Amino acid sequence: MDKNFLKLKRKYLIAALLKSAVCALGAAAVAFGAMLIADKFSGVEMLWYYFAAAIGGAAVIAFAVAFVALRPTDRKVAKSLDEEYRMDERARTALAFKNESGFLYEMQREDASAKFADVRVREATLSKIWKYLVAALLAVAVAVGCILVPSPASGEEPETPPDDVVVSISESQKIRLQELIAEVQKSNFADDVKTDVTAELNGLVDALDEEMKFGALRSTVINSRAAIAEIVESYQSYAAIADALAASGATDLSDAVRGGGGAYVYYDATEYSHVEVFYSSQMYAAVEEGMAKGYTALSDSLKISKEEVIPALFLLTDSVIGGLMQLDDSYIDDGLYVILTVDFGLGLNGLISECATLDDTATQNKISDFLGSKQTSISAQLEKQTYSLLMSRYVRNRLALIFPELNLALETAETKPTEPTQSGSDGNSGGDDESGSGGGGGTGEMQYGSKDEIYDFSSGSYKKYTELLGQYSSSQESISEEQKELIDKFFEYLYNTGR
Amino acid sequence: MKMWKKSKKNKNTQAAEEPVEEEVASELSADAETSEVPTVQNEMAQAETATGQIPESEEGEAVANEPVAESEPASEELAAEPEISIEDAERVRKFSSAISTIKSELSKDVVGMEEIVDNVICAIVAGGNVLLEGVPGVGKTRLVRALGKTMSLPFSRIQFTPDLMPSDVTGTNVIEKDENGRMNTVFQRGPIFANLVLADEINRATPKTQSAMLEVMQEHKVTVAKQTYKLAEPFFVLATENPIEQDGTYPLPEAQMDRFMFKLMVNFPSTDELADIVLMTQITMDETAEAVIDGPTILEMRELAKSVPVIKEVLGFAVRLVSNTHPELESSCASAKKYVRYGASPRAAQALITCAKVRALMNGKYNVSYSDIKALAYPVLRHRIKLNYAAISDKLSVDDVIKLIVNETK
Repeated sequence: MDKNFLKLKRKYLIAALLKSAVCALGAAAVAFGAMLIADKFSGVEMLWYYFAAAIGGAAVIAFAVAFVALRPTDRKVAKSLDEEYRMDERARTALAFKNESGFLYEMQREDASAKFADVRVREATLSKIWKYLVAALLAVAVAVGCILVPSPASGEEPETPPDDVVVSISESQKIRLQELIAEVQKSNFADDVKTDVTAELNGLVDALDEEMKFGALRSTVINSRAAIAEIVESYQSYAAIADALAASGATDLSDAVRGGGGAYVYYDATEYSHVEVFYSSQMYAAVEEGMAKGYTALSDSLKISKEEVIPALFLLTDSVIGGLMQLDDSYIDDGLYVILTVDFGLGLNGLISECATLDDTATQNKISDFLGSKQTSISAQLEKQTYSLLMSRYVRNRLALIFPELNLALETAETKPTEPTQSGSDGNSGGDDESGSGGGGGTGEMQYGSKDEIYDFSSGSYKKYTELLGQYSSSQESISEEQKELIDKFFEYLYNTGR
Repeated sequence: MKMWKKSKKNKNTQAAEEPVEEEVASELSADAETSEVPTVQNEMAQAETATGQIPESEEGEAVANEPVAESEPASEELAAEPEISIEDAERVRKFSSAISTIKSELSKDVVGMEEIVDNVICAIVAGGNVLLEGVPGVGKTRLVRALGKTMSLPFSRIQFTPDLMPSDVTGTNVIEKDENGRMNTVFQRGPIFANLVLADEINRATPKTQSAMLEVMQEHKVTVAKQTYKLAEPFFVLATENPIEQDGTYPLPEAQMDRFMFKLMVNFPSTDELADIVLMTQITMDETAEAVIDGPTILEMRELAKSVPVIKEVLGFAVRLVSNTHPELESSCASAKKYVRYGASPRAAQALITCAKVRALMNGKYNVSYSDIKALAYPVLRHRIKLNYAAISDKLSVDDVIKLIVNETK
């Protein structure tokens, strides 16, 4: 009889395990469907291990709960025995009083055992599992349905509501804005830029109401994006450059140049634009090449005195570098500009004085060393400039993604730029910062500024780069083939060396 | 896990049972053959009167038969420490055999009424009183008389009439002159002083006389002139009611109704049964049943039945069943709230469990089950529940309402 009881209990246990497994399957399917829906509609990317954790956790919990509820205890088995096999509560009585002594209890137990011995334990314990299977299949069907539900981000662009429709800012959007602010704060933006961009984003958060008109939301976000672009592009403002100039002891560089005998940079805040300064900086490369040929040889070829070689070369590079920039549509921010011009120029000015008493070879070596060190800081600043531009773009693109309903265009891929590896000069100092890690790869593509706006010193406002280039290129002298060749090598040296 | 313990001594117990059975059977048959019936029983049977007065006996108690000789243990092992001793097994066997013997004896005088007979025996063993309701001539009195004979119990019959006084039932003090010529006050016992009392047409008695039965039925004692006289055990009252003649009757009060463990409806016999009755009574109208058990045996059976185990689920079911008859309780079922005016008293729950234990043993089981409770719900509850007008208007009998309540009790 005990064997029969244990046999029945085993059957119930198997049935409970099967039913629990089916419950686990159903729960896993429901969890999968829920994660899919969350992935599609919450805006939060659900990574694969989120899915795994949710599905696994739901399955384990469902299995455990189902098994605890369904597991066959002696009491349940006895009850089932009495009900299914019409034992008239013999089994439950025998179980309830199993520890009682007394002859009637003994006789009752024997009677129950004898009755149970006649019972043929059938497969009825596995009945009703089909209900669980149906429920699990329904859950799987729901999960499959969740797969088929289209994601709002896929396919066609979402319809833009009219401007006067009131829209609400979701908690997810607010959280993502805060995450973007945290990213900016951790970024390698220059401190000023970081402060200003962070302030702009915080201002955006404050400006967003729980509910606001769609038109107002759109204009607020667009303005923020534009402001962020402006912050980065106006990095190293004219005032900072002027500070650098002041630190050099020159009110304007042209005086310093003229005073020092070396016109290595033409810079006049009232007359010369940013572009022309770029042109001037082309001269710098030519110096090295020139020095490679020999100081005297260069003076002979340029038909100028040796004392005029360096300044002449600088003038040459100044005049052509802008054109070269125009040719490859490059963008130089203020930080790079200061290094290329002020820092470079001031350093070179000092070098000219130092080399005045040296012979050709020594002068050549000095200039080569100087150029080498400047190349390091130029590269670092180029990286920083690139990072700033890319980071700016990244922040603006993230804003577009946080508010997809505004249908704002992404400029390029939203990938966050790699932090620049060289600390280098941030351009603010304007001094002869020769420190730097020396080389180090930049981030890659330079962003073309053909549509970007740059600061026009003459008008004191931002104008399109190409517009200014157009104005000034015509005023420049044409450059010779030899000059072009020199300039090519300059750029090649700058961009390729040390990467 | 070993759920049940097997008796180690089963084989020995079974081996010892056969000779013991024969011994018991021989003793029972010996009792039947001899004229050694209890003295009081003889006197009472001879002195039966219309008022049911019986001669005074010295002790007023039934003389018990000699108890059945206990069998010797068949082996040293049994004598040492049997888990189910021979005596215990014998008690149970005696119970079963007594029941079947009573039934077979009663069938000599009572045709049909198997369920009534079962319930009456159950109530007697449980120690309760029974109210039989039926039209005249269905065999109520005959059943009770046959029972008295079968159980070797002093039997008295009280025919209730409107002029019957309480003292006619319980007895009264009379003044007698003794042999010395002195006048003494002697208590003359009434017909209630018997083991088995048939209270015929109890609803014809006045409430005063009916209330005299209250103390007797509940406490098994009589108090007259501040003197209390205990009645012999076992003591049963089987009362009858005629549902037809309601003129000049006094419906039993609820307090007295509650004293009856069962109310049984004796229905008109079927055609076949009626034919058997006619054939049987053509031969003789006398009861031919013979004594097969005695009072002490009934008391032993009662004690044995008390030990029958009942699980708490079944107990809870019985309790909930009685609670559900009370419409004023929030937890009661819808049918009770709709059809019941007054519900059953706690005695109903006691009666259910007590009788269920007896019934289980009678059916060869050793535990109480839901089916026992459900089967006993009708005799236990039908006289304890008062229906309201809604039941009457819906043409529901009390049994119909009990059925609804049983079905709605989980």
